[in-house]
Amino acid sequence: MVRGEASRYRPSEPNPEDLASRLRQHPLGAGALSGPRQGSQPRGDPTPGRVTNDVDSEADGMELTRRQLFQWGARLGAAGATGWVLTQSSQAQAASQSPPSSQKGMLIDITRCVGCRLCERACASKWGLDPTDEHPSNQWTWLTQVASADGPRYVRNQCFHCLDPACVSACPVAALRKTAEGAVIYEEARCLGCRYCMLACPFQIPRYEWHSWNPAVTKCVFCYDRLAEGEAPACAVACPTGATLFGDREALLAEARRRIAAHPDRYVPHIYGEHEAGGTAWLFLSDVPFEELGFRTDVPTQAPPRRTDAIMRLVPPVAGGLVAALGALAWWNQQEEAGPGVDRGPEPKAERDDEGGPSA
Amino acid sequence: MKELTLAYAPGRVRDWAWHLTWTWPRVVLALVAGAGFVATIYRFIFGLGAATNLSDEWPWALWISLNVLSGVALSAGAFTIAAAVYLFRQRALKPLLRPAILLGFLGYLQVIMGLIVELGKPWNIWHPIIMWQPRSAMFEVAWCVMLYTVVLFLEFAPVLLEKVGAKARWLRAAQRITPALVVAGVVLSTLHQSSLGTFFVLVPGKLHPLWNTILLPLLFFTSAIVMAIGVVSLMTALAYGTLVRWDPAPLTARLLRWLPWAVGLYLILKVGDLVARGQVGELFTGSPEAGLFWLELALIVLPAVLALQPRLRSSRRGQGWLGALVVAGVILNRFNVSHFGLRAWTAAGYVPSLPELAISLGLMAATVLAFIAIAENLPVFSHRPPADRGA
Repeated sequence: MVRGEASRYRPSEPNPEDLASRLRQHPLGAGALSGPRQGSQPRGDPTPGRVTNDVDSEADGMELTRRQLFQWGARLGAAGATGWVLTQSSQAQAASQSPPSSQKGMLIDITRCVGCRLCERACASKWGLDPTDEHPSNQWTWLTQVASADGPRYVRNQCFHCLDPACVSACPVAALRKTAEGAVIYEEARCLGCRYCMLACPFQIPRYEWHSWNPAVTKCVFCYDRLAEGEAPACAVACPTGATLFGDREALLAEARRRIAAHPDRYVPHIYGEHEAGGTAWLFLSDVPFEELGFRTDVPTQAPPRRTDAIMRLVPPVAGGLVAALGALAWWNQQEEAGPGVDRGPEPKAERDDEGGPSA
Repeated sequence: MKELTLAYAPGRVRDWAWHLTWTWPRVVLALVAGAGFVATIYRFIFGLGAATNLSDEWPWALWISLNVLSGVALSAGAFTIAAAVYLFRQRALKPLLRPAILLGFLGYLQVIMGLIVELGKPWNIWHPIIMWQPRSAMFEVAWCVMLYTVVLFLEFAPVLLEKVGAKARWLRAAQRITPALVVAGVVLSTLHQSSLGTFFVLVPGKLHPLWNTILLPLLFFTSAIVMAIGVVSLMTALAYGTLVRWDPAPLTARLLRWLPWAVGLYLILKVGDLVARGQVGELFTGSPEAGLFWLELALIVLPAVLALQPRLRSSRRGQGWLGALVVAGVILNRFNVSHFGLRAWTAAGYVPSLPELAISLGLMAATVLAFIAIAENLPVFSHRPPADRGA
């Protein structure tokens, strides 16, 4: 087939023998070498014999090109695998990354909350939120009342401040980021409003100013400015019963374990936030099972960004590998096409539709 | 010089007048596009809250599923055909390249317009240029879409140059950079077609187990190639007789020969992934999600099997239907991942509002109409296969 193809090569080609031998040696096969690129016919040369016969030659070369495709697939796969291996070291490095040692936290003991809502008010006055504004986006922390067998329970709802937040990894412009103290904060000036953070959040916490022409994402920012100065958040200061306890996350975790161990009859044996979504800064204790209080208990324990980080790390090696492999392929194709010693600079297309403008 | 434009449209040398023949389907497209335009104005005056049924529980509109995710997949013909022609030496497919690139270019403009409508602060859409966050798949997609739209414009530039009767030297320059553009286009497409899948790797708790896999980027990429074959087949079938005067059926048949291979690869990955994750049982639970998964598979596998028949894949009507099924199947996949697969978790009960629908469909209609208008006035379908010359 290759020989036949070569022998049908345009008779006007300067050196058919040379081409035939090159075709036989060519690793990519003959199919694509059967003529100049469409449109490389010099202008003003109407010789019909010089018209390309792409369709015919390609039909003959089909099997060959399919094999080529598999070969290239294998090569690209190898390039990808190499890149993957190369990134494993950095991945291992990242996996050993631990939350900042200064990670602050909050321990909410639902058994101690009396539903006074001082936390809500403290938050509103700290951040200048209008208490008469009914939009959910105007509440950064809000209390929900849940009926249980022995009286109502009050649950605080706000950002959990994940140790490895999905929203931070999702945001394309770093409008969301984690401070040194472990607060997840939002910078409206950077935001473009894609709302990927809202989709990404495993707890469905970020809210949006849907009613605004210039909407922002809103959520608890853990009074990051107070934290930076070593102070407790406004809501923790306001809490009169000690249901909201501020401190280092590790210390709070120990305290939570101590409380459960000391009063196994009072608490369900679960610290919500210890493992959820890879761990959160805010921890919850309860005497009522968490799912009954409206907590999502189907949140994965692995931090979601772990999954996407593993993929995004592949981007540079895949991009580099593809540029190298496909660039080489394109260059090779062009070299073959130019032919030996014939400088047929790619001309504008010579093939024309003589029928001109369509008229549907 | 003269010959350049003459060859395309005799008697229309430097004719700047635009011709658009109005047929009933085109009138319908224009009406839908017009409704979308009105809805877009409404959305920008009254805001997202008034124009959409979005909520804190359901933050991503129909626009993401249809105009962005499906839109990007529908534009995959450009990089696939370019790679076939320039990298994998399927020279015979070259007559399909210009229409595929035009479709891709307009498709990406459509994606960007969809994003402008979708974003809460669209005037900040350029922020990823200076505010880097390479950990985010969204950041990568933003960059790739920006760059690739430029690449597509450059790939399409020779058509414009021919139209305006540019000097041969310019056309030569444009052709000389084509291989580099093709490589750039294929790399950028590979990256962001797959990264659209990465979006949903970040929501393991929310996405239904049938689609919740770390392989989503790979599945998005392979299905984009499947989509490319489908959408180009559909396009040539619809364009025959009005936009294209030569018979594209033999070329489309050649393209469709690859469909079973592409679908086969996709299927191996998709089913293999289900098996590896131990979620095969989910297929038989009788849940709505299982039904949608089966439907998605059927819409892709059926045309792939039918494409094995030379008679079917050679007939224009067959090509149109095969293409339509594939397009529907891949669009359903994007909806399954970004919409139906998430519904159960949030229980938000989102149904798109009328303005949302109007904008979505309006953008799609405007894209098709723009394609028709440009193909009628510029040398888009001007390469004809040599075999067809005598006809």
